[in-house]
Amino acid sequence: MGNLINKQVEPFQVSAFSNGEFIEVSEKDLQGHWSVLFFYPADFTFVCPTELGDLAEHYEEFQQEGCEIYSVSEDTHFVHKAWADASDTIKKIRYVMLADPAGILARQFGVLVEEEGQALRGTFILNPEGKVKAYEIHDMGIGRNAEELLRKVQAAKFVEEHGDQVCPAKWQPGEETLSPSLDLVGML
Amino acid sequence: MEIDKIASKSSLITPELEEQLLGVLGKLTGEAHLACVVDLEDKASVEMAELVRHIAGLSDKLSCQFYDSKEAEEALPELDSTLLPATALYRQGEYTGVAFHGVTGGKEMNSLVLAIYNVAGPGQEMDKRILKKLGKLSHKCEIKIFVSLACHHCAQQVITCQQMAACSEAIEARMIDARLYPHLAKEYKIERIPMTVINEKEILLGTKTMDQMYQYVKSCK
Repeated sequence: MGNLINKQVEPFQVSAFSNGEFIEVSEKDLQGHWSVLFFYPADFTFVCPTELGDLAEHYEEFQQEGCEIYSVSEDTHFVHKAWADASDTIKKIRYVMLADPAGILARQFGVLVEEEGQALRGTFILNPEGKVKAYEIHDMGIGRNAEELLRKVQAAKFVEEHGDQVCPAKWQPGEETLSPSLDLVGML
Repeated sequence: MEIDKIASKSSLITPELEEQLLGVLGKLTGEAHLACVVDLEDKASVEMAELVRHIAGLSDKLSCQFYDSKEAEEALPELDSTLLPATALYRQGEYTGVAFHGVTGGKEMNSLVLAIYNVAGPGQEMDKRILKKLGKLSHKCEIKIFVSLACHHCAQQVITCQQMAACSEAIEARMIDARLYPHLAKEYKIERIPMTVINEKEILLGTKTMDQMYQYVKSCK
């Protein structure tokens, strides 16, 4: 699978666990707002609750950005509920937990490890038209950072609204002066 | 301030860069003067002072003079000498409205060299229609462009605004390295650059064409 930037989310319909209820989610639900698809290998594992809990703690900030979070694993929605019942960390999650036991979404985004039936830790930021604007894929054991994800969502939104002619102002106090570079081709 | 306190060569200007600078400065048709307000106890000020002295030494069309902030208060009242180092360009003894706060390293070397080229002449080509409109501006316009030296878009925005300033007595365009003045970064909530502030009213992000800048300048009284 090649580069996924600007890939349009394909039609799908999956079950999900959301705030104590079972719901159905399709690609149409991802339209009209920014979305994050947050793949993780499986429920009831050790790294995942940490990542998902981190995401839950920042969920309000994502919502303030007009961004909806969808976690995705290859478990069923019943397993998501069982996990929420069993774990205080998962219980506090307010975003939608998609169930992808058939691997439809994981295959669509190239993160399914077929022989294990699990998804790599893939994160996909989709714009309101359902197009991928940024993504990262980690191997199973490498965790992600919700704050960094929030920054990426903000940056993606900013670029969509203002074009790409800006740079992040990430200067550090005490940083060395950059050596000058002269490039005046076509300007004189 | 004694010029002897400032090294005549800048470590930021490599022999290759000096060759390039000689090529551009060799085209100058008129004269320009660089006034530089510095605090020689401060590393950035020393870097900028050395840079200015080195560049001024590359052309007989250029001259420079250095001031501490106390001297500048009297001698250069038109220049904001609270943000050091501050370097301004003068033509025939008159402030052109082109100034730099910070060290013009990184991409901002392009801004400084083009500002000199535009002030001393021959200057970059300019749309005659905009030139005419700039001549008719009836209100003063102060433009601050916050930049980072590594930002490739920033220099373009500085060049556009300072080209306008070099052509219009009504416009002042100051490059400000946001890294050097954290209180301003906080005050203006700078998260992305270039950020352009016009008359403390209009805030623009990213680069703009000269046509666009003229419209903002015109409407921002």
